[in-house]
Amino acid sequence: MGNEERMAVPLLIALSYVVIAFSVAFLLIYAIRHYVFGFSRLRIEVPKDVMELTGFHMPRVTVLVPMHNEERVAADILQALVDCDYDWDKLEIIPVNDRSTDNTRSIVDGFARKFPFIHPYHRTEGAGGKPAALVEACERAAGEILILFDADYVPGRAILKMLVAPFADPETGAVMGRVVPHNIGDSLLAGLLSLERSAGYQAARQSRYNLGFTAQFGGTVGGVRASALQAVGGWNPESLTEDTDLTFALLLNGWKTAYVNRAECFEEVPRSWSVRKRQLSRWVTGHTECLHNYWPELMRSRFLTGWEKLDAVLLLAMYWTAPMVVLGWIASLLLFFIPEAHQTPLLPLALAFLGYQLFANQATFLEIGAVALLDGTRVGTLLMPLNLLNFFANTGAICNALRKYYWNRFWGSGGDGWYKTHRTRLSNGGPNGHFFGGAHAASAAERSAWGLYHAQAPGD
Amino acid sequence: MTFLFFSFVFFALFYMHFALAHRAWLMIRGKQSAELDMGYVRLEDFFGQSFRAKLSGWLKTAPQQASSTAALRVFDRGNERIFVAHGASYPAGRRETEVLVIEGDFTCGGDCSFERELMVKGDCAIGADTHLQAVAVDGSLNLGEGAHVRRWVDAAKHLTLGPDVQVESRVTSRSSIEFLPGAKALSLFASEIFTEGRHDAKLRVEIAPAVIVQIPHPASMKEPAHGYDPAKLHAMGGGTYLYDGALRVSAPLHVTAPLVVRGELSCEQESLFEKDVKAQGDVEIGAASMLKGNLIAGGAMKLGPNTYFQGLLHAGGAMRLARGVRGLREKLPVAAYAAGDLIVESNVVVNGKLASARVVKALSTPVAWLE
Amino acid sequence: MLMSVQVEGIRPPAATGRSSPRNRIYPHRSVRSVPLTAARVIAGVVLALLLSSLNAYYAVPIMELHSIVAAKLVDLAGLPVTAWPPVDVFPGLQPGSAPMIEIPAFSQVSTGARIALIASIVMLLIAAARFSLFRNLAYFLIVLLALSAGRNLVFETFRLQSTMFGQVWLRQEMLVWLVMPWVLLLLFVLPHPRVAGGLGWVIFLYAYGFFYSAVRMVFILGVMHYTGLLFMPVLWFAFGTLSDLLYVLFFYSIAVNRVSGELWGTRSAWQSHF
Repeated sequence: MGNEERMAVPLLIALSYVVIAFSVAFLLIYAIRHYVFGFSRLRIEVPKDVMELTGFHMPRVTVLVPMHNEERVAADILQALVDCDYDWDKLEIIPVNDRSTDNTRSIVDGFARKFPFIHPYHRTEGAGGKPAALVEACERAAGEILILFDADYVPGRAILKMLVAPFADPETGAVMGRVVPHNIGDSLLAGLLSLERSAGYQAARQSRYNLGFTAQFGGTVGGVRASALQAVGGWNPESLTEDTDLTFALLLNGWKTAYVNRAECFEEVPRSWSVRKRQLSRWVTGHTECLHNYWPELMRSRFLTGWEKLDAVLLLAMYWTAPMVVLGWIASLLLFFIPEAHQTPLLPLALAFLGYQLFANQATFLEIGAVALLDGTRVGTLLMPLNLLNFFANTGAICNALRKYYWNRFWGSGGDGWYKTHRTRLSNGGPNGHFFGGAHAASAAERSAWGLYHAQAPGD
Repeated sequence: MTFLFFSFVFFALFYMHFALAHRAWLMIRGKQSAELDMGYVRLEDFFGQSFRAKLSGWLKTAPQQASSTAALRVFDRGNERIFVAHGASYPAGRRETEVLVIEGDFTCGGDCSFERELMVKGDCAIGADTHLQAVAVDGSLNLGEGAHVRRWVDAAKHLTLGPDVQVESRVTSRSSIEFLPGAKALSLFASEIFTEGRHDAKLRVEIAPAVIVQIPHPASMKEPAHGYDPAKLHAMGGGTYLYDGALRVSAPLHVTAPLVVRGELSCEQESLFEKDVKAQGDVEIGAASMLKGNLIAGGAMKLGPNTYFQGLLHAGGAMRLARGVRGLREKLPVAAYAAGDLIVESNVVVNGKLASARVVKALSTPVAWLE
Repeated sequence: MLMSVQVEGIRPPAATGRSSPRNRIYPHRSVRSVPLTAARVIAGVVLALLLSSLNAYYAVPIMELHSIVAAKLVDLAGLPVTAWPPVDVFPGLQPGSAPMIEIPAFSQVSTGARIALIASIVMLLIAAARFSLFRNLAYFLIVLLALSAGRNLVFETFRLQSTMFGQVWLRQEMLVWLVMPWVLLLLFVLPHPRVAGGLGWVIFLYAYGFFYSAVRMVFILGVMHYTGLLFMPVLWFAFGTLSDLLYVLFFYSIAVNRVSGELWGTRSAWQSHF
């Protein structure tokens, strides 16, 4: 073995240790973050809960529902919104029919004929994608608060009042509710994603809100203050994750995003891995793009405290944990395959394995467990060991998405365009349509200003 | 061969760690989540209405005991009974362990104990130091001094919470609530809530003093004055402003745009807030001020005497509504919520809601009588 | 005019001390929280400190016990371990003991073992095609197997002594046992509403982890004895600390499932009574 070869091996060993140390340190930060969120959610009461003000703050609201070929579900969401207990005099619904080729238009127009506060916007040209459609639709919105729902969601009767309550605070620029997967039994992936969603909303978002950090606006089951949206330049049509982009645009200008845990809405999670992979890829690309776009300004922002800046950056960089894990594994395996490495004490190696495998990974499962305790869900909790599969699958997909993003960024080539996540839910009238729950429409009394009483008089 | 068998056992043990997950998956396979109540609507008097609805159902389905008479019907629910009487008057010291429904008026003497709900379809007067589980009244309700309710109280007509009455949950009335000194509850909701010593003095709404601090300040203002530094005011956009630091103004404050204060906020009497204001710290509003928008405090909040608010008050800490405070607006009720104690002094009238994560307390402030 | 109702003669005497079933309402899940009592924190920290300290102080007897358990399992597995020579685990500590068993070089590995390697790769490919969620993991394991086969081909003369494997295993597991009480504190003690329940889980899992470590070590040893180093990386990855994570997760899911059921029926456990 030549001199170069003799030097290369120790160098490789040393490099591997450095990579492992960096990987462990990086993942430890996120592990601590997850533990903090998990425990803070578990034990902190919610005394600042704005739910006590629900129904007392009633500004003019515009509900935007972007639609593209949604004939299966359009009627359900429009009916659900009409049935909400929000005062019709202060409500506007704008279904944004974005160049649909099916019966979406006729369904929407049918509702508009019956309800004067439904003002359809039929889009026939312009850039594709939800963000572009929202840009145009918002120009037509009259409400002070813009609430967004994707077309396949079915909001409950009280959700509008709940989502609007935090806007009593002038610092609130956006609000996010809680999405709850309904198709948990469609596939194992859907069941596992349900655990992930629960942890992400009930634990992470709620604890971040409790701790004074900004919750993340998710683009659906949420809302934004129209004046704040205008102040930050509106929706970013170039972004793959216009919701994340808006969250940080607002944050940089001093607006906060509130989280309303009580405002729950069913959603459909991807049931096949191919759909999930595309969704994840879009989120990874969008998040990482936001990180590169916003982190310098975040660091310089006069509106944010040091902890808020740290939290914001950690939120945007969270997908980097996947390549960190992979790098750590590769470095560890490299050491394993290098015979010379076995001669050195493997204490650091063992410690590294221990650190990021045992400690870091448990942290995310603490959040899942905390949520299971709070939600009272039992059967789903037992799925946790299978979530390891989801973890490995996600790690690969995220690494791939990051590779593509940085490759495109480095070579300046175009990335993925915006695309709609494939949905499979049939209409509420179909076999899957039980979750509309048979709820009757809110009465005029319930919608009225003092409709905080039940419409039925005592003794009736 | 032995090792093969050992391997088999090992893999069985390994699979065991996934077995329950596998079984759980098989249990939920093909099912949809039904964990959300799509029909939920938030009602302030939910407890009272819910109980009335349940009671109505129980009375239809629970069998009537043979011991029932025309004066007293007894329904058996297995683990408890429901007594239904036309009208009743309990002497002092009486203990009731069943659900009691009175189809007329009801009174009880002092120191009684009701271990289950009390439902009265007429008017109701509860004696001093009586203990109740919960009470729903279709007429008016008077809770005597020192009465203690473990859960909620709901009345269709006027409700009086006597001195030192303690209600551990919600108090609701479709009419009005008189909230006497020492009384405590978790929340109160009514068309009108008032404390002792009520007298509706004419409220001055014009801002007449020579010196006021205006936010946003006029373009001519360059130097700090009266505790306000124009250099700290930044536009967030959308007509909202942010003041970067504590804002302790030693003059009346006139706010004409939505404002966020990164610190404490205090202002002198006869201030006027025309829009929503939020301070991340404590808030202290001078006497005879007017708040037309919402007021949010990250910490404690104090409204000075005779202040008039037309929107919502939300405090991350304690809140105090000094004597003479008025909360009312057209068309919508107002609300005040505190994460800490909410103290309400004499001569306070609020059309809407008072609530706290800890306790809403009425205090006696005799000086109100002198004003 | 109110009517007095005489009820004494009709009503049977009520039971004393009976509390109402509706003392507290069940708050919505969005406002629930679980109290973290000082007793639980102190008890958990004390136990974790105790276990970690005992693990450090009695490291050598623990390693010896591990070797005794492993030796029994080796006999049950029918493995021809010839000796348990001492091995240095950590500097400053007395040596532990590790099994000595023959591990063939690549050229000495049986045809059956090579077929098993190929069959494993094929099975993983089939599983990857069939179960999309498993795909990434399967590809990773295939890469490990291929690398292992390649390394064995290139470095044909490299041999890993079983005692070295045992030495590394002991190091790994000793560190796991040192840290485990703190992980168990965070997962099982602090969120558990009853102190005794949480502490019970810690003690049980500590013992389970100890035993399971010996089982895994013996299994890997046996595979190495029959197939050389072909499957070594995959076994190390799957049955190393990842398995520690797995059993903690498995029992954590059971603990949460049980506690969730208990809390469901115990309304007073929730702090908020809105």
